[in-house]
Amino acid sequence: MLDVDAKTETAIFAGGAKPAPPRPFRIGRLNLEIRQQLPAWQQALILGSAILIGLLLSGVVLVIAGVSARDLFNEFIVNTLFDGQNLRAVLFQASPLILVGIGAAAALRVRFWNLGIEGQMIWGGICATVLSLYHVGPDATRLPLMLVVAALAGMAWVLIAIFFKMRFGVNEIISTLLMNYIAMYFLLQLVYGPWKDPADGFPHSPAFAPYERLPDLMSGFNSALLLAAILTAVVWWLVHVSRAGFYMNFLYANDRMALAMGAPTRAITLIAVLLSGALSGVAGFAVTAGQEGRLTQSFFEGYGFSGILIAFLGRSDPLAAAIVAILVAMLFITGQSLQVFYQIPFAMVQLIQALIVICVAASEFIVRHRIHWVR
Amino acid sequence: MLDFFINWIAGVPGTATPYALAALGLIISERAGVLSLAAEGLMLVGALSGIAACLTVSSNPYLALAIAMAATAVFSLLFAFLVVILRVNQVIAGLAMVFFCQGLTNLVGTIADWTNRVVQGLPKLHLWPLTEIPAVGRIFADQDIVVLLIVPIFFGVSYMMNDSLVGLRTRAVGENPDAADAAGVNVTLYRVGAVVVGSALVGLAGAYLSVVSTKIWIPGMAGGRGWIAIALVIFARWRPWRDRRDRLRSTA
Amino acid sequence: MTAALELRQIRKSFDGFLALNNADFTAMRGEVHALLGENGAGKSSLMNVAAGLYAADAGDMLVDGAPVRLSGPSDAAAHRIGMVHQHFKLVKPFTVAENVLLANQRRGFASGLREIEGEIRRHSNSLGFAIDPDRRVDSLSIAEQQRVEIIKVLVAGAEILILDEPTAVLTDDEAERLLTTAREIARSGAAVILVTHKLSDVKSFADYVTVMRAGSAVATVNPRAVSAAELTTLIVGTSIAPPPRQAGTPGPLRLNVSKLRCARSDGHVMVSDLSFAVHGGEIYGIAGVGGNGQTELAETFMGIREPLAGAIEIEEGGQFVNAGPGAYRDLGVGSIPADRYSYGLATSLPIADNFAIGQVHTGRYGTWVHVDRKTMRTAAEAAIRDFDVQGVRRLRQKAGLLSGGNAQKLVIAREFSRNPTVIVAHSPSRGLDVRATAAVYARLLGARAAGAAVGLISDDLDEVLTLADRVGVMTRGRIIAEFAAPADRQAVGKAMVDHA
Repeated sequence: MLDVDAKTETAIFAGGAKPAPPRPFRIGRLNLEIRQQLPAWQQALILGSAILIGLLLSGVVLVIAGVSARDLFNEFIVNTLFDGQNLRAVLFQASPLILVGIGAAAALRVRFWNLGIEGQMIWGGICATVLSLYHVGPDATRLPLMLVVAALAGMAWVLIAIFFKMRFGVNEIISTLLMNYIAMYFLLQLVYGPWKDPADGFPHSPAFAPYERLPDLMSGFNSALLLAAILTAVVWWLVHVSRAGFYMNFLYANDRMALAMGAPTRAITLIAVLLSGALSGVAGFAVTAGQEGRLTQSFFEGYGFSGILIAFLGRSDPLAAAIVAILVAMLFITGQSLQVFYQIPFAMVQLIQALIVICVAASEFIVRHRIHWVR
Repeated sequence: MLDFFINWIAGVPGTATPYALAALGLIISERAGVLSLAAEGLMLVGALSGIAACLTVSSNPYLALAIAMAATAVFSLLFAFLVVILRVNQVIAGLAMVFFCQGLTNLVGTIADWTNRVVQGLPKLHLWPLTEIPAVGRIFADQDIVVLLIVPIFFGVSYMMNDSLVGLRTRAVGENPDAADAAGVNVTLYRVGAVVVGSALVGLAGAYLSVVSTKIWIPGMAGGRGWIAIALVIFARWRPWRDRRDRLRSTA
Repeated sequence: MTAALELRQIRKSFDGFLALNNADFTAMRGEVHALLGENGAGKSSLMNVAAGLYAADAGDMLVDGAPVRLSGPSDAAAHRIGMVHQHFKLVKPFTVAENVLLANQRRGFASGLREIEGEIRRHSNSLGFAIDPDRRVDSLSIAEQQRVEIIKVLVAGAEILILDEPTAVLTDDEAERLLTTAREIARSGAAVILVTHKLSDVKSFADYVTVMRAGSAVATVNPRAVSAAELTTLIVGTSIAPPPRQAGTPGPLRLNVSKLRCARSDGHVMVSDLSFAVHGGEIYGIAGVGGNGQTELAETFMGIREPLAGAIEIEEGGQFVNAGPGAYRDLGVGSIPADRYSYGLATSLPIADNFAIGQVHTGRYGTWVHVDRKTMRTAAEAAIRDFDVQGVRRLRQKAGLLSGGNAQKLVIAREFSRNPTVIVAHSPSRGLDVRATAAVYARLLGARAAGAAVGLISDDLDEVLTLADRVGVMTRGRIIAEFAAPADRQAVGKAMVDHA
């Protein structure tokens, strides 16, 4: 389990000021000290409470926005969990979220903030669409080929950012983020221009053929979920079982020491970051060939922050991230219902996610510090 | 042809103003050691509250700008609380703040029906006789007051930072918080103060965008300007020749 | 006569660790009162309470007989207490005057600067050293920066002056000048408290000494009336005789460094034209004041820093291999870094992992596909037993929970279990108490006896003189003099200040 700490702050301040002093400090009569450690069950309890408080606050906001409390309970809890059709929708929605979540987690494990998830998704979707539009390869292998191409596209897009970081020390937070805008504008150019569907004139690509879409498996669960599960297992192996994962832990904890111990730090960082890009590209493919069935102008929206959120709440552990992703999927589905039935804009989902992150991040304070009064 | 060119350049100060104001605000908080990644969100808060003030409180645009600055400063207290007092990681807090503000402004703007409603904006001041200067006169003299105020604001901030006790302490807090603390400076207070003051400027940038430039509120209208302002500040402090011998970044 | 400063029954704990255990302390005006004890005894913690940086959990503090409760460093300054810290609290890019202005409230910026400049000149003249108020702090030497710190507290009107380990970063000459200055300040009516672990400083300059051990004050005596041995007994609790030096039997040449040139991260060249050679079975000590390139040299051996020029040759099977940075470990070089928490250990990772990382790449603990954690645990357990690393309840626990001495033992366990032929140790006993230091020394001597070539880089002259068979003095990035053991301390010290 990793947690985000003061070291990351130093990375931003490569040329400037230093972060706050870590030693014990006072605020008035309150004396704060840094804890050395806290038992796992207490940490889990604090985390759970924080999430709950975040949800409660969101509920309050929604009630103020005009949703009745009982309806809220129905939507949030009952419908998403116990309605069979809704469960399938949740799991379907979970697949790309799992992919971006474990992708963000993989990058975070080598201290790389992959905020370019959306840009990587866009390129993944674009390249998959290219194969569809130009009928590349035999029909039977088209879908797997689209998957591969999407992964490579995402990898290539993030490669630019990691190259600039390694060679010139450019901070990836800004580079990946701003590159999203580049990708987005290119996408808009495509779907409003040469790729606009002549059939209906809407800004999206012509629909994919049936064999170019992710098929449903037995009892209505989509193969996207299987894809997500397999890739989660792969990332889990990388992080917990492989030697690369062992090195990654050291890279994160003390990169100078890792280097001194002979760990191939540059190679490991590249592997993790490129994997993260590939997973985001695959997520783009999953949404385009899955839910949407074509390249649309806003299929990627919301996944960027969700990915980071999932990685953060799951402490960069792939399995925990996958579980959190399913919960976030519930949130997404609920958000769609709220939009349709209560005219609450979909940005509400963003708000709820942000509230939960704020509550959890704030709760870390209690985990890290012990407070007591001084007479 | 010349006319087109002059018109184009005359439009630059107005477009550049939000970036300049936001960057200035970010620099203030950055000097105290807090790089406010929440800028994009705070800009939206400033933009919405500016329009909201115009639509609800009074149609006086100057008052609206002031209210927007105050509202953004209040919002920034949440960010300051998270980052300075609770010691939350600045990247997470910044991102969360951005999405919190995006979601909230979107929601409030829609529900209160402040979206897509036009306000009067600020008049361009025609500073006669400067406007009569051939060719370039219009570039300097045909702007609204905020653009013209940028220069004095810059000088004011620079003076505060470099030639006052408050600025000295703020810079000390940013350079070496340990030393500042041992010198008796209230590090927490100065950091929160720098964030709030800086955020007021970011709010002004956002309000300028909505009240003056476009005269309208649209969800997400900051369009990445906050991030670009952050990039401007980072690159302004970036020293690429550092760490060259450090093997971690070597090409060997 | 009332005491200037009195601390009674002070208690302070940090997350369960009791740093101060009912400690008492009294200092009078006109005297230099030393606070003596080994690392971890609580001296700095007690003085941090006096200076308002820590709030005590229990106990009382009196200044000139009146009880006070300090709310922070400014409050302490208002009570005329000033502290010069071991790690200077100066803002490097600011000028001297700006730093002093920061700590001393004035009405305006420009006028304040002018006032401060005047006061700086006044104090530095009366103390006999020249400090230019307009110079940037990062352009000053360490000794000069320390003087700035002293002037800072004097301008604030300090009459109780606390000096925390002031001679740790100074040469013998500079230290003597500083302590003489301290005595003068005391004679002019202030109470000067000298926190130190150096017996020699105490014997020469202190009027009184309070010895601290394990968070309490165990004795207050007149240093001129007791012997060094008695003081040592008070510090440690028992008397520890220094390990007897035996002459080693040097073997073949193992490590040859020639004309090495290294730069710091910011491009500043710190090591230039450095050459020395170490044979198997000998300890070569590199003495010198810190900041003369020692860190960069140590980092080069660790593989973190790439030299600009020159060669490091390591003997392997009769041949000398000009080693590149990544190859040192494979050629049998083991490194003990100065800051065990920076380079030596990943504090948030388990002890077993920290032990195993040294040899993971050899395949001893599994392949790329699968890391063999069970073998890791077994090997770590064995090493912990062999190297007497204490405080390990579970191998899974984080390495950061180990005490300084045990953390160092873990680092040594990792490095030595590979049976290195060349060992480079950088300030290996820094921050360790007497017992842990003795254990570290025993390991180094053991490695020497086993035929390894040991390079010891240290700014602690006593450490070098205790262990080394040959001593090289490093100044400005070069070895300017070499001595054979037993080396004359005066000669070595003189070479250290001789800027060749």
